[in-house]
Amino acid sequence: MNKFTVFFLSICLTGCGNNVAFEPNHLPEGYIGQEYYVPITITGGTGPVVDLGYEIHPSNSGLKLVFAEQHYYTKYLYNNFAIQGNPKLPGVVTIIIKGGVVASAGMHFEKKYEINILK
Amino acid sequence: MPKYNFYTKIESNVPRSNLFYDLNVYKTDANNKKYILLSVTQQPIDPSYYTQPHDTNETDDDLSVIYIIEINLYRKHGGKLISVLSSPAKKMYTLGEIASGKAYSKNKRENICYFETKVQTKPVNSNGVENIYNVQITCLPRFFIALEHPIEDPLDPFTKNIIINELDARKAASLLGPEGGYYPDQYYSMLCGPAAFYYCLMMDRYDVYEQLVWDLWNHGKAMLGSFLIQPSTSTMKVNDLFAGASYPRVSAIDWITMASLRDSSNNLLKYDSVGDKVSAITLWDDIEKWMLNAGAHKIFSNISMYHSSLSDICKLNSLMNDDVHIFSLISAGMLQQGADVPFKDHWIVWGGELKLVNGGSITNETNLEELVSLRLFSWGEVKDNSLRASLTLDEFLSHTFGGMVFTKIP
Repeated sequence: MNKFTVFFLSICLTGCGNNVAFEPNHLPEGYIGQEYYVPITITGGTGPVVDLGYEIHPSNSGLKLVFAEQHYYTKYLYNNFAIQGNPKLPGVVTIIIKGGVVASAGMHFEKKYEINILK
Repeated sequence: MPKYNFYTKIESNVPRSNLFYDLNVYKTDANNKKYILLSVTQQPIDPSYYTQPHDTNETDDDLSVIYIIEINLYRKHGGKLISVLSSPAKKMYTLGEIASGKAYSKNKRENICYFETKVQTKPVNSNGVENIYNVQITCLPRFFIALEHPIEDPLDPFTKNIIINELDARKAASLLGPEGGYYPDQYYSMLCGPAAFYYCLMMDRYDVYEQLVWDLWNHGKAMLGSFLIQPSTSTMKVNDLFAGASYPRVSAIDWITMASLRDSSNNLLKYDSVGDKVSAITLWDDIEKWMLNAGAHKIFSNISMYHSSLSDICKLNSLMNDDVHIFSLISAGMLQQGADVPFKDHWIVWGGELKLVNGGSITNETNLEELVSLRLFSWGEVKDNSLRASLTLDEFLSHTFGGMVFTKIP
């Protein structure tokens, strides 16, 4: 790799960020006792999401993340999932999602959702 | 067809009259079929600790073809021959090195070694204290270490057992070639070029792929044909493989092979971190160098700074068959969940012709609005169609920057 090539590729790479986008960006309100279901799509970054972990506060909120069944031909299943369940408590439910993207040179992302649960 | 004369060197302090060897020289093809170039058993060693010169079987292989040399040693004890190695020792040499009498190393420790230490036993001394004789056995230190989880750490990713398990999984995939994520995986790293190369090597010559892993693990260096893979110390003592995670962000054998190859190929910049970007980039001349050193031949290239035309893709399609690999430089945006960037950023390996989604062939007259499908290797997976849903031929062309066609690695 010569100096010119490195310089040229460095310029190219500056545009290659790891900007992961969550759709929707904000979640709608939920109601106690009513089924809550919102599909989430992660796009952007350098490729598929390779790892994903999450925390839900409070832990007894009645909500969870549901992923599609893994297909035999791929290990990449984290780009699409749903937040669903029957909310049990009034107030704000916080969901923190952390993960990483393939070919991102080790970068990680974090997304915080807040859901207002009403009676 | 020509025959060649083969010999190699054994390092030992045992009188050579007490040492004997089994020797196999072979290669294993993509179907796990073994081709024996030479096989002899329980042969005596010559006075300079070389093996006997043996005539090989006839072969019409190119001199760049890599062979595996496998040796088992026997020690004569009381008229019996006892095997002294826990498993046969293996080395890799090209047919050219074999033909020119260079199938051994000038570095003693890189040849097959067997040494003995002798001590006369003594009775317990008169003071009632046991006579204790200390033997110092030197052992090469392990080369690959994750500094966050070093040797003895429960999360040490480079243990021998982990390497064996990861290799076993790759071997199974090399034999069956299933859809799924069983292949060299860049994971968090930007090493798509080395991953594409090792995918081809693993599928064509799993025996060479495995030996390369062990040579790097055991010696910190390995020969790929005439190319020396010798990673920097900082590549072998990697400091960000985990970055706080409970698992490595590139698997052990992928870091050993891919990071070592990338770092050894760079003139200017070290590749020694999962977070490295510019030093991770692979250009087409690197792919060519690696494939040629593995023994493949280049058939065609239309890799370009500009995106492909329909005739470029038709040309690649016309050359696609079971005996070739096509490396293509693309914008990953044409893949499912790939980043849609305007420049070339990813290497893939075609696993078949580009087709219409209904299975139809593509010609120079095909409508550019037709939807297309391609079996390919990318991001550690082989999938029958890795392309984004509803990708048109026109979009495929704008995301592809040509391809390089090589024979499979013989």
